[in-house]
This record gives sequence, C-alpha cells and structure tokens, in this order.
Amino acid sequence: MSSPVDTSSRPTVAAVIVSHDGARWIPILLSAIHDSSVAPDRVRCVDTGSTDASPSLLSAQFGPVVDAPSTTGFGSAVALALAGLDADAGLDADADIGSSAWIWLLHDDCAPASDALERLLETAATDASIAVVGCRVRSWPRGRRLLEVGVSVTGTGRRETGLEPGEYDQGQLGGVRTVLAVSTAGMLVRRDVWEQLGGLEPRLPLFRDDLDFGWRVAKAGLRVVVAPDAVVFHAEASTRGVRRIVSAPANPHRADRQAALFTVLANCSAVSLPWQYLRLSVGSLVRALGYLVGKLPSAAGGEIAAVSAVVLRPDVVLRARSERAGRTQVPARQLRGLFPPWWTPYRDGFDAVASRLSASSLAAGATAAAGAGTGGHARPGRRAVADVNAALMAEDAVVETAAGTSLAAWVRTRPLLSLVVVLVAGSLVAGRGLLGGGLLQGGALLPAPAGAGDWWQLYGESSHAVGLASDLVTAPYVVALATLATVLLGSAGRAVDLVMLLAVPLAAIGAYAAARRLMASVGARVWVAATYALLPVSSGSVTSGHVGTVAAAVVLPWLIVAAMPMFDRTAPARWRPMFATGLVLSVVCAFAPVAWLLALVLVLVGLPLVVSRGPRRALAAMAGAVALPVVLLAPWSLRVAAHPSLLLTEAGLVDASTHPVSGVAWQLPFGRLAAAGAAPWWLSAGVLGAALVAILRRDRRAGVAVAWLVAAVSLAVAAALAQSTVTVPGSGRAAFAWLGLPAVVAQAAAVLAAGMAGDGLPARLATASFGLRQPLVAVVGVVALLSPVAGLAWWVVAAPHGDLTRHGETPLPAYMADALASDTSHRALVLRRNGGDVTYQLIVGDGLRLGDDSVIADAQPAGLDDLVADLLSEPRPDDVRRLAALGVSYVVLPAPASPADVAALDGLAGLTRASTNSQQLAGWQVPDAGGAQSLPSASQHPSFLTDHRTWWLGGEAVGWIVALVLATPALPGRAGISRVEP
Amino acid sequence: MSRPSSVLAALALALSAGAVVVASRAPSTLTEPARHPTDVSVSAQTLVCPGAEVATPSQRAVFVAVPRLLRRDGASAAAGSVSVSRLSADPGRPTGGLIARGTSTVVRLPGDPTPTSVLGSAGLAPGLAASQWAKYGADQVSGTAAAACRPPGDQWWFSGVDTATGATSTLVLSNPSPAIAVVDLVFYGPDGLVQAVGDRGIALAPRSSRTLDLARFAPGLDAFTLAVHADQGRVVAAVRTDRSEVTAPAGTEWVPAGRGPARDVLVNASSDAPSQRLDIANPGTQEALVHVRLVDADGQFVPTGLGDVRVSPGNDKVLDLTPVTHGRAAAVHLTSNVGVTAGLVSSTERGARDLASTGSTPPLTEPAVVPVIPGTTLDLRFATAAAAGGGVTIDAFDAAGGSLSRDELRIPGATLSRWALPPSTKAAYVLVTVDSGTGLQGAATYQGRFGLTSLPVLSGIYTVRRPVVGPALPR
Repeated sequence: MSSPVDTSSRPTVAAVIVSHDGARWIPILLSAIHDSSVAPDRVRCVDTGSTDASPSLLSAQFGPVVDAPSTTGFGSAVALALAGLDADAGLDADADIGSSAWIWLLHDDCAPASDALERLLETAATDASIAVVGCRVRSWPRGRRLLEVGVSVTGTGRRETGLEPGEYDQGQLGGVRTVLAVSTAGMLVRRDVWEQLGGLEPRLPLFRDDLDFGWRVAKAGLRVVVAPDAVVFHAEASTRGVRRIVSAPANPHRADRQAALFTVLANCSAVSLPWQYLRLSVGSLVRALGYLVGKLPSAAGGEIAAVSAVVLRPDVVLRARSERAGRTQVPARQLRGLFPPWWTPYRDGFDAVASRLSASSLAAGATAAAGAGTGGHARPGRRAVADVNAALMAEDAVVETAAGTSLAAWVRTRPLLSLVVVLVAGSLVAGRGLLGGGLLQGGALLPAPAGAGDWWQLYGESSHAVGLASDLVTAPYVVALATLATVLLGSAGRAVDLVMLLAVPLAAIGAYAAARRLMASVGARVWVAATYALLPVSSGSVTSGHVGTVAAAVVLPWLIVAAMPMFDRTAPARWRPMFATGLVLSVVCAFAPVAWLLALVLVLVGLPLVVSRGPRRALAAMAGAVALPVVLLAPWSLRVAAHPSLLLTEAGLVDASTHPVSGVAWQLPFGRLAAAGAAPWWLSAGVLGAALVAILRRDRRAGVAVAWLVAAVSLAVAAALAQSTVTVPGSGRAAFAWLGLPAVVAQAAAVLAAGMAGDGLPARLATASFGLRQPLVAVVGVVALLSPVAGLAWWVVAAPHGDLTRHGETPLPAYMADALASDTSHRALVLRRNGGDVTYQLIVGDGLRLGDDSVIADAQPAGLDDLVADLLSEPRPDDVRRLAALGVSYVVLPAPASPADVAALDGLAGLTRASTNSQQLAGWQVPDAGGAQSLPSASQHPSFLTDHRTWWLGGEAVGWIVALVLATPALPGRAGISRVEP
Repeated sequence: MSRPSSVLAALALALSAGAVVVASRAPSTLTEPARHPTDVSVSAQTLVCPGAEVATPSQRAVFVAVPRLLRRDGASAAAGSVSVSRLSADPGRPTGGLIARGTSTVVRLPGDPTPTSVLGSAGLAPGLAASQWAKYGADQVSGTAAAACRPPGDQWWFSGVDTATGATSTLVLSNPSPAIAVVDLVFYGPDGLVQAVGDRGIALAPRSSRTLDLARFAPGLDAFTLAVHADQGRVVAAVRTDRSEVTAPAGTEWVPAGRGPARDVLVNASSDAPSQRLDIANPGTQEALVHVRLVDADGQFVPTGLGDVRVSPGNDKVLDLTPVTHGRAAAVHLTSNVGVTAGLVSSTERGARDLASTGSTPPLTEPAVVPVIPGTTLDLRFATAAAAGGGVTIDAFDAAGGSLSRDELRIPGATLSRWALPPSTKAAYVLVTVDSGTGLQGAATYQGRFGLTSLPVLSGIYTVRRPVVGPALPR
C-alpha cells in the first residue's frame, strides 16, 4: 500500500470483498487496493465456493477468508463478512454503530482507481445526509467505456443507466449527483444506515438488490450519490459469461423479471400500487407475446412465471412493503426526480425493436446488395458480400469521422433521419389547409369513424348497419387501420391523417430501407427514397383520397426488404423471408387487392428468370409468398374469389369520377392517372429518362432489366384492367377502375432502375475514358437529380388539396343526425332530383365512414326504387307505411329541392313536416318508423362466410400470429441475465 | 451475362410500350343502359272548383267530363269512378259523379257557394276535367263567371286583379289534401311590392278553404298581380273580380291563373270587346324591357306606340290596348329580358255588362275538354307565336259520350284563329286535340244573355311522370 492509513483524519472504512472463481482478476484488485491513496482500515473477504485460487490469493493478502456456500447471494455474503469484522473487533452485531464507520463493497472482478476510496470519502464528507456513495463504473481493465454512473429503475422494472451503449467517459455527468442507486462494485455505504435498513434485500439474491437498497435509502430521507472522480473498473465477468456461476437459476430471465417486479411493487407508493399491479401484469403479457413472436419461448415462459410468482403472491409484496413502511421518511413525490420519465421504457422498447430491425436489414442487405454491387447478378458471392459490408463499414466510418462537427455533418451521418425531417416539414407545409379540426374526407376517402372501436366492431360483426343492412365480409384493411388507430390512442381520425398527410415521409422510410438492400451509395439511397416518397402525392393518390393506394405505397418498399433474402443463395432458409414477404404482401393486398394480381403475374413472368439464374429454392418461396395472402386474408379473399372484380377496387370508395385510362395512357409510365391534385407529368420525366439511360450501364444491367420488367408487368396489368369497368357498390353504376397502384409500381420500378444505375456512378465515370456516354449521363443525371427537388418544391408551393377537405357536407340537421347516430335501426332517406333523375341515399348512424365502403351491398333491395318513384310522382298514404317498414324515420330533400316534390310530400297524409332550415333542406318525419334492425340484404352471401364469424376471427388471429412468428427473425438471447453476478 | 440482361431489358421496354398503346385504346366512355323518365297513367286526380262564397249565384253548376282516350287505347277499359262533393272536413255524400269514360255530367248546385272537389280515381282519373259556371243576376253581382276546376299546385299567378273603387276581388284558397297547407301572398302593384299585414303563413286545414278579400291586403289598386306561393302543401287558388259602377253591377269574372314569370309570354284573346286592358308584372329584381306584339288573324305586329315597355322590378304596369285593337280580339305576345307575367281583361256591354279575363296558359299538349255552357255561344280562339302553326282537331260529344262532329283546323303560324261551335249542336263538351309541338294556346269565350265569360283551354292530365330513380353514389 502506497500510503499509511491515517485513522485520525477520516472515518473508518471496512472493505468487504466477495469472490467466486475470480482468480483471474483478483491480482489486479489486490494491486489496486495496494496502490490506493487511502487504504481501508480493515478488509474482510468472503468466498462463495470458488474452485480456483481465489481464496488463497485473498487470504495471502488479507488473512482468513470466510467460506460460504456457492449458492450464497451477494447480500448474504456481505452480511457474513460484516459479522466476521464485528467479531474480530469484539463488537456486538446489534450494537449501535456510529455514523463514522463506512463499508466499502468490492467485487472480485473490479478494480478501483488508486484515488477511488479517497474521492468517495471526500464526497461522503460533503453532506451528513449522504449514506451511500458510488463510483463511475468503467470497463475493465482500464477502459474508457462507461458502464454506470448511478442507476435508476423505470416503471416496468427495467434497470436504467441513462447511458448510450458503448458511451465513452468524457467527463459527462460530472459533479456530485444524487441518484436512486449505485452499483455495489465500489459502493461506499455508511455502516449505521446499512444496519438500520437491514442491508441488501435477502429476497433479491441475484438481481436489483442494489436498486432496492438505494430506493430504501432514498425513502429513509438519505442520499445516494455518485462521486464524480471515483472510478472503478469492472469486468462484469458473470454478466458477460466469462465465468461460470453455479448459483445461476434454471431460467435467468424469470429471476431477472421477478426481481424487477418485486422491486417496483415493494417500493412504489401506496397510491400507485394498484396501477403498478395492472401495468406490470398487462405489460408482462405483452412482453411475453413479443418474446413468442421473437421465437424466445423460454423468455416468454419466464416472463409469465415471473409475473405469476409476484402478482399472485401479494402477501410477499405486502410483507416487504410492511417492513419498508416503518423506515420511510420521505413522501414518494419528493423522489420523482430520481426516476426516469414515464415514457422511457417505451422509448427503450422502440429503440430495441428498431435496432433489431436495422441490424436484420443490414445483415440481409449486405448479402442482397452484393448483387447490385457486382453488376446486379443474382448470385452474390462471398466477395461481393464483403464488398458491400466494406461499403457499409465505410459509411459507418464517415459517420464516426463526421460525428458532432456541424449541422452538415449531422445531416451526412443521419441521411434517413434528415430526409424524414425534411419530408415531415414538407408534409406540414403542403398540408396547410388540411390540418385542423374536422375529419379528412373527399374523393375516394370517407371520413373516419369516431374511434378505433368502430373499426374493430365493423370487422367483428357479421351484420352491418349500412344502407338497408349488409352481411358482406369486411375488407381486412379495416383491421390494419384499427390497429394503427389503437396505437394512436384509439383515434381513427388521427390514423387516417397519419396515412394520408404523412404518407411521404412514411414512404421514404420504407424506400430507404429497400434501397439499402439494392445499393451501397448513401446518395443513391436518399435519391431513391425521396423520389419514391413523392409518388403518393405526385400521382394524385393522396389528393384524390385513394387511401388504399397511399397505404399500399407506404408499405410496398418493405416488400422488397422482405423478399430480397429469398434470392440469397447464402441464406440458410427460405421460409422466413417467404413468410415475411407473404405478410407484407398481405398488408398491401388488404389495402389494394390489385397488388396480388401484380404479384402473381410478376411471379409467373419471373419464374423463367429464377429457374435459369436464381436459386431454385426461391421458386417455392415465391409461390408460398403469393399464396399466403389468400390464407391470411380469408374469408375476405374468398369473397374476392367469388367476385374477381373486387380486385379492381381498393380501400375507400369506388370513385365514380375516375378518368378513363385511355386518355392518359401515355402518362402511366410517369405514374399519372389524371387524378385531382396530381403533379404535372413532366416533373417525373427526369426519372423515366434516367431509367431508360440506366440500361446503358452494363455492370448494373441485370438489376435495371429486372426493374424494367416490373415496370412492364405493371403497365401491362394496368392496360389489361383498363379494358373493364367496376361497379360502384350500392348504386349499380359503372365507373372506370382506379389503377393507381400499378401506375405507382411502374414509376417506382423506374425509380429503382435509375437508382441502381446511379449507385456508384460518379466513381465509375471518373475512372472511365471520356466518350459520348459521359455528357449524356451527366445531363440525364442532373435532370434526374432535380426531379425529387422539383417535385418537393411543387408539392410544398402548390399544396394541392384536390378532392380532400376537412369539412364534409352533412345533409341532415344536427338533431336528425344525433337521433340516427343514437339508434342504428332508424334511417334517413335523402332524395335529390336532377331533372328527371332522382337519386336516393339511406343514411344510417353517423353516415358512411371509412370501412363501410367494403360492406356496402352491391345493390339496394328491389322496391326501394319504386317507393321513391311513387313518393315523387303519385304519393299515397300507403307509402308512409312502406317507409316505416324500411326503418326510414326521416325523408329529406336537400336544397335546391323541386317545389313540386316538396308539395307532393307535404300533401302525403302521415308525413309530418320536420323542423328544418328551409334554405338548406325540407324534411319530413315518418311516424312509427324504426326497429327495422334486420332487413333483407340485397346481396346474398354464401352462408359459410357469414356464419360462425367468431370462428373465422379466431382463425384469422391464429394465422396472423403464426405467420408473424415464422416471419420474424429470432431475437438474440438477452445478455446480462444469462449469468449471475456474485 | 450482359446479353441475357440486354434481351430482358429490351423485352421489358417493348412490353411497356405495348402496354401503353393497349391502354390508350381502352374504353373511354361508360356504356350504361339509358334510362328515361316514364309517363304512366295517372291513378288519382283531385280537382277543386272555387265555389262562389261572395254572392250566391242564381245558377251554379259544375261540369265534369272524362273524355275518351282517343290516342290511348291501353287504359280505356280500366274501371274507375268520379265523385263530386263539397270541399270540407265532412263532405257528406257525393252530389254527383261519373262511372264511364267518355261521358259528362253537370252537377247543379243552386245556392251552394262552397268550393267543390272532383275526385277521379283509377281508370277515370286520366283526362278528368271539370269546370264551374255561375250566372248572377242579383243587385250586387251580375254576369256570367266561369272557372276551371284545377288540381292543387304550389304556385299561382293572377294578373289584372282590381281592388279600386267599384271593384271587389276575392281570393279563394282551397286545400283538398289531408295535410295542412301554408301559403304566402305577394302583391305586385303599380308602385312596386305591396307590403301587407297577414300575407304570410296563411294556414289551411286539411280539406278546407278560405276566402280572403284582397282589398284587405292591397286596397285601392286599379290593377295588380297576385302571386300565391304554397310554402307547405299544395292548394288551389282562384281570384274573382266583381265590378260595379255607381250602384249597378258591371260584371264578374274569375281571373284565370297564368303561368309563372317567363321571358316569352303569350296571352290569348278572349273575345271582341270594346275595352281591353293588358297587365304586365315584373316580379324580378331587374327592370324588364318588354317588347309587345299583337297577334290577330292576319299575323303578328307591333302596335303603334306600344312597342317597348319598361316595367320596374316588382311593379305591375297596365296598358290600354283599346286604341290599337279597336274592339277586335287579339292575343298579346310579350318578349322580355327578364321573366314577366301578363293578363288581359276585356269588358263588354253587349247584352249584360260583363268582364272576361285571359292569362298566359301553357301550350296545349294533351286533349283538352271544353264544356258547353247552356244558353251561351262558344268561341274557341287558338293563338300561337311560333312561326310554324299546327293542326287542331275538335270533336263534339254529347253527355253520353256520343260523337257529334269533328272539325280539323289548320292554324297558321303567329296568328290568332277562331272556331265557333255551331249553335244547333247539342254538344255537352268539345274535345280539343292539337298536334304535338305546335305551341298553341286556347281560350274559350262564352257569350250569352247573362254576359260574357271565358275559360282557358287546358290540357287534361292523363299521365304522371315517374322519375328515373336509383341509389346515389355512396358518400
């Protein structure tokens, strides 16, 4: 030891060392203690069943070592050591121990810095209320990576260090900081407080004992602080699995979660206890589901077992709380600052999922992008993978180099985030006038229902209060929207706003992920993502209210992400990408069924390519991926099979004002269909030009040719479908099919072709000899590069609204609307005349809402037309009875109504004039109407589709869960809980 | 490796171009079966005769006829009924009726001034026609007054109404329906709109009538135009004007309801009369520049000094046509930059002093029944402003439906033509059938010992138009 112990100028310190097979690190620990600027007054060692030289190493330095069984926990070991110290000093363990005595806890795999104890004591002396002082814990043996600077716990029991993984110690978090708890490695604790609180919780032998102890100290009105300059290096040998722990439980995940749940429930305030019980119970079930999806059944079982062991044993929790109650001096609200914000666990969860997806994307992308990196061949070899990996690493290197230097560097290092920020800002500016109150609607878009529950109900029920009732199977896109709305706290309106108004940034995220699979250049990825992201708006899909095309365009890029591994010869299995592709395709098909037709044709056309050049195993995977939506979307897929014309419809209304394709066929390759609010076609001319020139690049010609094949198939499908029309449900009228998705796919393929050709192009041009191609490529490249910029500028400046609006016109007075909304057995019959043509509309509930469009009966029951004709030509008193039988409570003629029609209805005995603003409409009340809950539907459905709805729903849920589990990459085992700290 | 990719790219480009060409040839129009409104035989019809509540006539009769369906064979054999009854909540037993198509009847209602409803149903509803006439010889009122019995409507326009000294104008509102009706009255006087108390929201109970003295709303006006708007329900409105000079009655007449405002108005002539007055009303908000032309047997001409007339918004303007017609009957053709209404009032001193009014009536499109009033001569005048004339067939029938005679006329374009029923004919009514699309208007003038009266010749209602009905596009 470098300095003598001066017991007269400082408190006494007793060091306790707990060892277990730590011979590998103990010499350094001993050296560190020897070099310490302030030596502990006494040192007592406890060994818990080591099989190596640990006891002898320690005894050689500090005398006799207390032997304890290998199952002894850290807290119990410390208690044994303290008892030995007291015995040595002749103290009674129950005797009053003064506040000048401190305990310094040391692990056998840690090494305090030479001045650690001195700094700890200095800090402890600054305030009499300090009971525990902890160190800055850094990686072993002299690493700069910070492991802990105090810890806290989230509401879900998660240990929270407040540090980023791998964060370097740059002096951050300096100063004496009061924290909830500190690590026991290097912890300096006042002996009297230790005794007063009973030391570490014996019910927590393995995990969270430090957190529990710190929490109890804080509740006792004392402080736990971190000494900023006291450093301890910690090998975390058990956590990292460097040594074997005999006392490791059978299911370490269960032990960890059980300790977490116990710690929170035993220490939280009495007021929050019921909420914590509920939160932790539900949260554990959700986590278990997540582990199942991540194919970690053991962790899922541990989660369930842990929550059962704690929640179902309230006596244990209550006993622990009772023990703590007598020592609590501080109300819980004064400790709030010691805990992280409430949303921290959710943020961490999101980060974990995102990083997992990102890691998966990177790993698979490296393989798939090799095809592009080596000329687009579908046979990526190891060298190619290495090349792309090198490129990715180079990108990371740029990130490292540029980190933290300037805004430009920030943008360079976070290209996707930067792009998304720009596009979100652009969305808000371009959406001015569409923001605010009211429900987004117009064109093909119906207003959203009141809440997510309405969508769930619509999907779950077998009979719908739409028109004169309907028993049609609800389209599955309703479930997707309901799920999104549920995540958005139940707001259906927000879900629609998110999809429609933030479609561009959402599409950019997917497009960037897809581009990572296909190209190595960050610039090319950003260009592809930006250009593709603008497609929903430039095609007019957003402004014409085609929510199906918009949602499909957002999800579509993930199809590439999911499908690319199918063609990777090095991938171990095809089934996971097959299920992933099938799942994503199912979501796309749910919104735009024509996607299935596109996929089928692409598979059929692509079969020869795969047979001749790709891995044969991909054939089955492709077929399976295309077949999966048929299974997952049943029984709706069976409805489509019975009525194939449904393939031409999509989420939202069939827009009767859709223009015929024939007039704008030449704009199809530009992704235009003459929709309301679409961008000028020439804004996409640069993209198409670049896609054409892309064929000239030989080393990327294979990929570019495949992209062009996709474009050609999309255009061919669009051309074929343009020959037929669709029926507007409920009206019987024909309309031109909306072919937005094929147009978007064609343009997207052109974007990909240009992007793949542009990937690495500057470097290639720089090394090539000068020729005619350089100026051609330069001109086309500049025009193509400007395309997304010009598109973005057009979008932000023009702020096209098209058919969209926030305020739909309601034909009914408020009291009628309220009456109908409160009782769906009542209906309002709205009649509009245009010369000799009269149209009628049956309003049920709060009117048609998004989702109802999929269950509108194809035609109204015969007889309703006659009834309306009778009313407006020769009304008879019997017509009132017929109205009542149909549940029609109100008859309404919106202005400008024909005076003759108004007079005819006025003169009909039995109808009573309703109170209305005659400038807006004329209305009549039908007596004795209502109660017509079950009316004959015009559409006869096969009974097996509508019967046993509950069984169908159960089957669907099981199918999706199984597919999701099979599609999800396995999660890694959780580091940190597979082994146990001594 | 490059060659297959090049081939694939070339194929893809060719397929893309081909797809665009195919798409450009896709259908550009939607082929849906055309649907048109259909005309079906009317199955029930109610006509209201206005009664005569002001003065009890010495003779009052309601004429009812259901003509043969000369051009409509399909429904001729259908059964039905016609009943005539008092318009009241408790109508009591029908006072008359018909059971066979082609026949007519005259229901005499001496001393009963209340409005009468004529209800035709089933096979006897199409073409149902009814008129009423009354002859007055009392101290208060003299002359003959005939009125068409009309189906309820939502708008009624009356021109040439008079409430000046010596004139009494009465509005009779009838509501034959089982639902309440509410009407508003609007008066267009020589100085613009006449604001009157109580002219809005006049309610009529089901199957009831009200008689209103128009002097209460627009007193002391030589001429004005009255518009009756049914704000709720449908009513039958009729206006009668009684004139007297000093203490002697000077005639009575039902002012025929005219069409609503139009930019092209043709007012048929009533009869040769020494005094003829034209009322023009402009209900719009812009000044009307009205071009006046007279139509007589020789054609259409612009009367000297009356070529163009300006009528202020909301005003009613009177033109004395006597100096230009010189007592001869002439129709008036008005063209205007804004919609106007017009009516002609003729007065005669031949025999009893009396009035006759005509208004702008709809062109004849369907067979029209013209009653023969016993003791009077019947003159029919057909006027058209169109350059092309048209053919008119006039069939005379006796009360049993027996055909007595048939005349076929050729009416030249832009002329006024006259046809008179031979006095020896024992006809109960004549049926006027015009060629389609001729634009002919007809008016019947009756002259007899009691005075002069006229009736518009109105197309019968045979069909009702059923609209093309379909569900609206979902929204």
